[in-house]
Amino acid sequence: MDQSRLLNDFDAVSGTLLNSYISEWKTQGKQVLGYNCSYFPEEIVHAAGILPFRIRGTGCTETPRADAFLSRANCSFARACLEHLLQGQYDFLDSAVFVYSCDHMCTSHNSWKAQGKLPLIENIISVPHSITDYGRSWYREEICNIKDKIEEHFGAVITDGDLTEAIIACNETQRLQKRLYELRRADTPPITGSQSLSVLVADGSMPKYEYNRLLRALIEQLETARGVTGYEHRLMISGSVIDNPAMLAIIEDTGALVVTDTLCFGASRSFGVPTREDGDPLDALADRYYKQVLCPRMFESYPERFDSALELAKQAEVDGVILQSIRNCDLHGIDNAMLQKDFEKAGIPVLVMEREYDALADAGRIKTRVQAFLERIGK
Amino acid sequence: MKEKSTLASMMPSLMRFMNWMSILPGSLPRPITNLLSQKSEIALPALKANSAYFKLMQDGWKGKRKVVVHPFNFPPEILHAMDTAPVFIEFLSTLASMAPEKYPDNVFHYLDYTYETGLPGTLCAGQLGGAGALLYGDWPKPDLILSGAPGFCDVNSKILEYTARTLDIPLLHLDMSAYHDERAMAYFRRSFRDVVASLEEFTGNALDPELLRATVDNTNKVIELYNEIAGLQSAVPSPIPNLYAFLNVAMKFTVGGRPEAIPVYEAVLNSAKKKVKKGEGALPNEKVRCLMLYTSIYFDDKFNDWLEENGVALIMDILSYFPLTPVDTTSTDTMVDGLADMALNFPMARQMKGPLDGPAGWAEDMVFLAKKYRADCAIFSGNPACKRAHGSLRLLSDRLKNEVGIPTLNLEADSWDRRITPMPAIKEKILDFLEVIG
Repeated sequence: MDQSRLLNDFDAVSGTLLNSYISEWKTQGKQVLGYNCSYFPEEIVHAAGILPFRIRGTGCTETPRADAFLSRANCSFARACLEHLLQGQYDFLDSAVFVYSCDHMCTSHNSWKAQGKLPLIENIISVPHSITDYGRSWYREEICNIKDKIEEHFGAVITDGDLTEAIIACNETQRLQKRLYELRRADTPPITGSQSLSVLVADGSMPKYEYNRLLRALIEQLETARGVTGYEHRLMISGSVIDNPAMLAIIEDTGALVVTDTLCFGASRSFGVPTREDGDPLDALADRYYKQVLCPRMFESYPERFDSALELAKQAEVDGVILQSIRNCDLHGIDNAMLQKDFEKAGIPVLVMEREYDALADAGRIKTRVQAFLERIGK
Repeated sequence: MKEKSTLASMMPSLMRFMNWMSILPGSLPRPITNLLSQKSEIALPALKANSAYFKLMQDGWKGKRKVVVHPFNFPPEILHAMDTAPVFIEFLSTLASMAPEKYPDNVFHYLDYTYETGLPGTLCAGQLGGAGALLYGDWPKPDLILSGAPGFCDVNSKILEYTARTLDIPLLHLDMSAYHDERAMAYFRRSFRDVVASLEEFTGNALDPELLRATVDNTNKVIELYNEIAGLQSAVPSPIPNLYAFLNVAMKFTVGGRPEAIPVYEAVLNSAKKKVKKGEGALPNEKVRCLMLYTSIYFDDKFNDWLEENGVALIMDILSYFPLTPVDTTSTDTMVDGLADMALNFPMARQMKGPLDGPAGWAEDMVFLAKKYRADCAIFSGNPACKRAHGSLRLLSDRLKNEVGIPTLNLEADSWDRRITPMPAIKEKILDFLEVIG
């Protein structure tokens, strides 16, 4: 398969919810479990022979039904996801599990539960907000409980061997994604930021072995592909969740290229330490997921988060950083105020931007802000 | 940008007033209280207690004690027992929100200052007002900030984190899980003990068991009095004035554990007993019993009086509800663990940390309170920063309607920032609501 066909395939998966891989999976009588956050170890679901699906708001432009339950004070990503549930877009899910990632997602979980449209695996997974030994033990108990509940709900049996096999497959994904980011550091990267996000978002929406096969093939092509030329600025994007490649396409329409990010659908998942493949698999998963430095929900991790973002920015030789947050996403909103000061102190220009989840609703304003930012950076 | 100074410049006169109040006896003799109105009877010991709190803060600013800023869900008992000067961040915001608009120390200026420095406009004025005053330099730089809301309020925790990092002062985190069971309690106790150990290290003072016991004894006395008052509050008409809800919060989070808190609750209880004995209510004409589902309105100190004039008895709000049992004083460990258990049952920490309908969840507690205190209606003040509350209000109001048969009004106001919904609009909404519910 050539590069453009592979990219189209990833685009098709990331551009919709019920994609052809899921349809095929379902026709085989197999089940799909939705989850909402990077702090959920998808390996447990793979190990049960179930397809994990990362819940997103793809394609949602209005939220009239969700707004009857959530409010305008809630972030438009949480509202978009609930809207899809209420409109039946998530009817292909057999169940879902929620992590208490932030206040919006926790309150959203109440509405998902109350609708009764989809049986949830309860309780909400409580991830500590500080890194401590007892916090790590707590998190391990949480994922162990969820493993038991998944087994009970689906009548599945998850062995240590199944978990280790899933860990190996997910580590392979991580290794491939990391290589993708390394390729993007080139002077003429073989892939744009929006194409790359499409590839990343597709992970979490299709069977792991299929995904790895396609990504491996893509990387083989990209290793020798002609790079993108003609752009003037190299940018990094950071902040609230972005699951729509169109958002990055709007930015890249200005003539800039997004060469790296710290998004939870993006580099944040790819650059952590791989999960140990030996020893107790739940211990290994607890270490990998609980200790990852990716989200401002972890209240003591700011220095590590900034250091890691700065390192990514330097490795990718960016000319500027866009710190965006979805309106009402206070975790990223406040974090961005801190990051702005620290990036600027490190000599990297910053654009801070608030937006709504639906990128296209705000495309003109976003483009104008980015254009003004690029003029400020100069070159 | 506002003019420099203000609260700081007002402090000397405020301090003089508070120092003058401190010469009052802790409790007034009964013949004198019999001559006072119920509100005055309660307000006098409350003013005296406040003067003690101001004195502590003043000592802190003068360098006599370490100044520790903390949010409303951290029990000040620990900080009092360690001889620090605790500064309850929401108290600073409330003071600033009550200042006249023309004063440069009104909360608007502090909020606007934080927006100018890059913080989003969707944060909670309850913390941001106080944090803005600290960041602007109108209040002296504290020695330490204690963040106690990770797990039930992202905004609160993140504002305190930002403030500590910007002021470059140490920051401690108290973490809680999303549940309310033994396992969650054990996790929280562990985190609480870590915070206490860090405080000991920071202050250089080991927790003195006798000082802690004296502090906890005071709190246990207040818990007994509070529970007795809560029993009387279900009487119709209510013998407790609306002012109590505000005072209760102020006392619990400022002088909790101090002896000055006790006379306030004694005064409330005594005055309520007198009312019950006479078969009277605190309001001359109680028409409606209202449950405030969340915070009340704090930027206008006449709001409670206005409600009373319109026959509205505030029977409870989320910040006034303390389902507490006395703390075991056997040892330092039992006291520290007991205070941790208490903190996990403090308002909002108890209700907002997990699922709406879980044990001690917001819906469970509000339905219980509406039934217990025979509420006729519920009001949600609507603090726009509380994403948890906004996202669950519809489900909660459905439960109140279906299980208790009472309607809910959403004021869409901010408790501290009057610019969101000005007081005339709030009053109009309430009057319309009262008319609709008859």
